[in-house]
Amino acid sequence: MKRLLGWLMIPVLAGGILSIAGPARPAFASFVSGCSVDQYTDYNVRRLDAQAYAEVAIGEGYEWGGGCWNTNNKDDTPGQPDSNGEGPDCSGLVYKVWELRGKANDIGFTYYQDMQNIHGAFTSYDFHAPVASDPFIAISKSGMQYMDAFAKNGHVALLWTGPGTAAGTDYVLEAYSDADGVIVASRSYRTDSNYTGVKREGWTPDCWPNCQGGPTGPVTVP
Amino acid sequence: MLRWRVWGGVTAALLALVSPAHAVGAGARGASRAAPQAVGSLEIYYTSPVLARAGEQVLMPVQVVCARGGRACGASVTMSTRVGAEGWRSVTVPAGPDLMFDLSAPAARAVAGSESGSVQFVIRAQDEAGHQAILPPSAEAAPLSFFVTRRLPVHQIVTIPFGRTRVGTTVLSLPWGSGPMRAGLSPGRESAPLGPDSFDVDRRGRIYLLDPEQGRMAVFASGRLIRQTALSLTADAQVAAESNGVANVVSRAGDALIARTVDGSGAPGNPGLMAGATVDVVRMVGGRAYGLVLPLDAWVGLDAGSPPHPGLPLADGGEFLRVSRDGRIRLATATIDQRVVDAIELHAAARIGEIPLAEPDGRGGCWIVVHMWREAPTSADQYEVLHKVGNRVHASFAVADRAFTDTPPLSRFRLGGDGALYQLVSTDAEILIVRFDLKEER
Repeated sequence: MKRLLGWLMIPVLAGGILSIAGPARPAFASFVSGCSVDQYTDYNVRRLDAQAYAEVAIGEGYEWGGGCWNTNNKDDTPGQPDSNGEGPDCSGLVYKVWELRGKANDIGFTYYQDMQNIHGAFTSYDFHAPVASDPFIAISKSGMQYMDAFAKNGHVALLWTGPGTAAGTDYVLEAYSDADGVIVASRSYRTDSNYTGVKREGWTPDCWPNCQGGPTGPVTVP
Repeated sequence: MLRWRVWGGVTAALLALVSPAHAVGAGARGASRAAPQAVGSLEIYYTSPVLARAGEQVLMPVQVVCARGGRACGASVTMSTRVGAEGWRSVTVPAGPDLMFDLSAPAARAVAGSESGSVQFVIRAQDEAGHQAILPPSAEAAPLSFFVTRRLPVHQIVTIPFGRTRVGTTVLSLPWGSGPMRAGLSPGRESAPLGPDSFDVDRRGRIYLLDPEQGRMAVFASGRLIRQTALSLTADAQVAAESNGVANVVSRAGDALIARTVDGSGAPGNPGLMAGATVDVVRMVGGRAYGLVLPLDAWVGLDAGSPPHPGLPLADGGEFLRVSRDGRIRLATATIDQRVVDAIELHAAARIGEIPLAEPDGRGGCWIVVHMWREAPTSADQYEVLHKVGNRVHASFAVADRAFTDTPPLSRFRLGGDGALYQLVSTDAEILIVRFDLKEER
């Protein structure tokens, strides 16, 4: 019930004030009117694939409840009132990047084109506190791999790479804000106790379709 | 992405501003004339050892993000190293998410016959179509480096129980909202809650606050606004103040960074493009501003012509090294003649996270703020403040993590020009700048 309420609240809250500070915004044509329905069932989704898909979203816009963006590396609707502009929100980005099932009984996963306007059924709170029927599970933040996610009630971000910074922060990809869109940034969500770790279920190994070799060790530099 | 995003190809990006045709050939960002088949990106991420112990296995993870039209693409990685006056040695392998380079051999050569030394390195990535990314963009002309030392004693941090934190003195309080004595808030609904994302404190105790939601840099003294400057600020904008009231501000501009000064009267100077895609922090050293830029993960001068430094540059020409990795922290000073002194490795009973602050105290020691965290039995985190003198840690107290907004991790603490430690705190009602007097710790 909480999930349903959370989802229903989004259009209600969309009419509220996003930023306490800021000027009045002009009217815009709807970006989503140009979005399409273009999806297919996907049986093998590697972390590599998810990362490459997510990379397209960098530099595009952010919209609360949104899920449609193009590939021109800019926010086409800056300052757009919510849900009609370009870009995903944080949970919508994770939903599409992870190719989560459209329905619980779906076989395989679903690839959605970037220009398909879909947010998916999950809010950041759902990623923060998964239930048994969800296609993702809670994991320890100390053992995360790239394309796992950090989630709290209100925000979710993808761990972008295995290597972090020398200062001990992680690179994350996140639908950050209306002003900034989708970005890669250095964050400390791993150590922030408000955030939990979450992993998509059913990743196909990155080595697929050629996994005979097994793991390799470090490369020796002469 | 319609254009090639080559993080690590910053030199090429700079060239793109003056010579787009050249940039297309180099596979750089800014190449809006790129052919449709060139849709994609090539980015290098790595974790530098910064400071290695002689004799240990020195590992460097490198991950290349290679994407074309939303699909993963194949790439190769070349690691080139040099020790002292020897020639460059390289190894090239296919890129992969688990790629790890073992740099033990060059690290061993760096300390052959000496107590400490350094290894220079350059990382190149090339995709199947021939696009290249290079870290650093200056390549072998001004390479990256890490240090190696034989003397790296281990010190166990006194782990302060979670919740046993010190309460500082609030020196500035700004309720959320619009106006001179308020701070702009984007509360975050399926996005990060955002407020002021950087601050600094000069020698006179004046507070410089970047307030992106209100598009300004505001300067406060004794809790009152004394001036403000309208600035367009993006995520993770950073500020560092000089003692004369000049502020250095760095903000994103697309995939690049823009640096500008704001003088003591509040007048902004001309913006300049600087290397890097993100700046983690900006600090003043000897009247010069340096930024820790990513994914280079090195300090570079905001004015052009500075080679990348693995540590925070020091006024005497040395640099202050710090690295947090695998649950331990290493700190040291690299002298101008590349010797490593006062090195120490810190361990703790609790998990060690990032280092939000590590700066010289001006008296031969340094202050360090370390993020400690746990997941069980219940999640908790707090900061521990340490004072290092030589290779000893002398003082320690804890500070609560009070962050309603997702303030960038290296923007939460500043060692003010007046010698006190300051924390940017946010609650659901306001932001606070809280002062911790460090004098009794010295």
